[in-house]
Amino acid sequence: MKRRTFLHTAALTGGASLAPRWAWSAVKGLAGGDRLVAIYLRGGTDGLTAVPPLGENAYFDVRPTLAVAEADALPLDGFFGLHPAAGGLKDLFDAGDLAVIHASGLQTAERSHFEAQATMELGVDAGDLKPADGWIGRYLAELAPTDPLSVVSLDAAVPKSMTGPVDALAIGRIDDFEVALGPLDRSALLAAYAGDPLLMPTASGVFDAADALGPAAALPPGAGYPQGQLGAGLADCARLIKAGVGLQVAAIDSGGWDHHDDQAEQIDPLLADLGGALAAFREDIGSAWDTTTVVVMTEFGRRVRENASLGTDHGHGGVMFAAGGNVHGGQVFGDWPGLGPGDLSDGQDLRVTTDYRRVLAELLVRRLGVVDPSAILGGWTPGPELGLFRPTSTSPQQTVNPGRSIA
Amino acid sequence: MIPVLDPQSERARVLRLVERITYGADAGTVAIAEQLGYEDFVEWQLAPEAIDDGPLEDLLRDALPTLSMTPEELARQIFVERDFGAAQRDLIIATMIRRAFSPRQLYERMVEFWSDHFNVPASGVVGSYYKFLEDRDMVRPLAMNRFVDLLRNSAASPAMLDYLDNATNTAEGPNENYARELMELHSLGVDGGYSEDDVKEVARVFTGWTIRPPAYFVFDPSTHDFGGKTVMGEPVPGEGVAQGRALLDRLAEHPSTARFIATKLARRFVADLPDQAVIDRVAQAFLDSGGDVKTILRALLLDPQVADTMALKLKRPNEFTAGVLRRLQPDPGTDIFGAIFDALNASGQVPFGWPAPDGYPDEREHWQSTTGFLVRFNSAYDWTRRLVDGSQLLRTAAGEARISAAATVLIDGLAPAGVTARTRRILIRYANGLPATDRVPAMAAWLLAGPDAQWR
Repeated sequence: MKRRTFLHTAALTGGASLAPRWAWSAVKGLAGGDRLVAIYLRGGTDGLTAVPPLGENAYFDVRPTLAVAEADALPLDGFFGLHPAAGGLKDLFDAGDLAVIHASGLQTAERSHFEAQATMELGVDAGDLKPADGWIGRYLAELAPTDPLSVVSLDAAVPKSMTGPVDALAIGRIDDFEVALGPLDRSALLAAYAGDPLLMPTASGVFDAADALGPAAALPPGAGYPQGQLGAGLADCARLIKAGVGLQVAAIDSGGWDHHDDQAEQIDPLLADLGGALAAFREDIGSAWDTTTVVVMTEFGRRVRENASLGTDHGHGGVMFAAGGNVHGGQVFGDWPGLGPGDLSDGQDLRVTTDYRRVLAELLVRRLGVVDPSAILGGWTPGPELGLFRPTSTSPQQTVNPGRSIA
Repeated sequence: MIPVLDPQSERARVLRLVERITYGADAGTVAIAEQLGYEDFVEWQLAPEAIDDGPLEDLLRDALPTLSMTPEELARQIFVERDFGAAQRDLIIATMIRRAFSPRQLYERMVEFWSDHFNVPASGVVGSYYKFLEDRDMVRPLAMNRFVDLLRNSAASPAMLDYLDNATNTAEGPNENYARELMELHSLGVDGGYSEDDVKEVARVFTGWTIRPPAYFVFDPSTHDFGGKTVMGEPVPGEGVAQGRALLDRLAEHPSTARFIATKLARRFVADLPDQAVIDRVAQAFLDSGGDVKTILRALLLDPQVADTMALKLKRPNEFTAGVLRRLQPDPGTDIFGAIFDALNASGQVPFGWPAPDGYPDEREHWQSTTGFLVRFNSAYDWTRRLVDGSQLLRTAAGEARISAAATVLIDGLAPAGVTARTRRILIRYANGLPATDRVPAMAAWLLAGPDAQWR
């Protein structure tokens, strides 16, 4: 079989499970939508450490060494606290710009990193047939962005969530994105790549990105970002926003959240990076914060009971965050399932009471101009809304009261 | 890519084979393969012990002194003298030099395959120390032997014991990290038929498997759970350390493992979405041979369907880099170590640099990115200029008075399958616009950075 035919066939058959059902395609262009920044914490963030349920006695029983002490925690709502390293998140929460969605994740437990990540990035539940495109990719198919830097991965690769008919640019770090070639090299290469339709978009993307990045590269990185991966990624994201180069969707990864041992010392800098980076980002982009929505997800939460390595194994329910000027922040959303022996998923993990797709559905409808999000989410129909976001002027009438705090 | 040769011709089959099982079809290797023919080239590469790599290993040993240190000597250098960078740098450079220049090409490909399969990143000082020893003493010697031996070595390797936390897996609070990845990533595969309860039971089996300083395996009975264990419906025989070994044997001969390894090999060597019939035949060879790597590879590479499959794989960054070096053939004595190290660090695929336990991805979707191609373009540009006086091929081309003659020399050396008349015209037309001294490195860079050189 010829390569091109082969790949084409693969793409078609891979996508067959989601035969077009674009009920929401009435909203062409989706002009009223926020800028989306999708952050993925890889490895399975421990929600019980990031946002400890201080009001639950069982927490201190199952985490005899790893529990965040009430005296150290940053208080949120009387029941939940934040890890002391996550001061940046606390600032956003207090300002009403950060919502916490606890006991969230895949409805069906999946404790393999790679399966759980892929499942979530494709916008389906564990055990579902996997579609070919990611949930952001299916959103982009409708958004039909036009600027070269509309859709950007601030990592070396494009994440699975962004795969789809729209070619996202992976730009890594802006300051490293420099073409050494001269104009003649460029013309010669593009002429050669014109003969390879599969690689041509990537080859031309290199030069398009290099050209379009000029205004962003000319801006110095903003102040106050922490040293980590998210600090660097969000600082570059802010440069794209401030340069006005048409950014509509950005994806940023943060690695290293898989803490089977010595969790306390490892998670500390990561939470500081997450909180510090988001807080600096808000300051940095100024009024653009009011048209930006950030969603933070991870593949699963961790085992409720700690292991003897001072770490935690793979679990089920975890935590998500939504941030931005249009978030009903300052609240912890979701129903808290409890940590008692009878409360747990498979007798060992935090139960999931909020399917992660409920958060994405609400985001898509309330902030990104999508009418029916079910086609983006594997045909799944979301239940009642949590009330996470302020509706845009074009959003349908909101049906529930916003901000139902738990506990 | 428009194939220049008839895809079913013998020359096309042999060229595809060379691209598949080596790190790049340079003119010399292609000549050997054409002389031997498809089957004999496979057999030649399947017997690496009969291929002399002495000169290359001598060179590496002289240039990179940490390669031959004992665990104790290396520990002294890293932890006492606090010289950590040299060992890490030496390992990465040696790995890339072997991929680019070892005559045992298929063997080096299998070393890389198992490095990815049993991935342990060289991260942190201690982790890098362990990884260095694991690669040299536990992976490389067995890359063409039996799967079960690799699995056993990996389970008892300080690098793996440390990375997936089995070193602290004890009866009082089992750590499931290794147990899960052992089944999901090293043997059965995620759909291989195990349950969450099996993960817990397997974790109990390996309690007490830990590290004795500086870098040895030891079984600590005091932290082992001596209770009975049941995995996938059957009790695990034996007790203590023997029980773990019995379980590894069982996993190694399980049909799910055969299928999983066969799928990964077909994905690495043939296509991102390999044909199920090919996978089934290779898995059968795995089961029939007791997991003998050479037998499995023979079944894969001599499969008529594989031999006839077009080049569907996008080169990964290190295959790209090795391919550039193999084709440009730097003169002996040219100092390229520093440039290789820099190129790998920029490429997104520095050896032993993937943080997660699944190893560097194999699929085009991951590697076909704008940053990835930016690095390829810049790298081709850099190598052709760096070696303009350090490569016989580039000197020969530069000695041609006419651009078209220089292009012919470069095409013969850098694009063994030939190029279309259109590509040749592009080379000559654009080179015409450059000053004479720039033409050869520019045309070489365009061939190496161009679309045809990205597939294998």
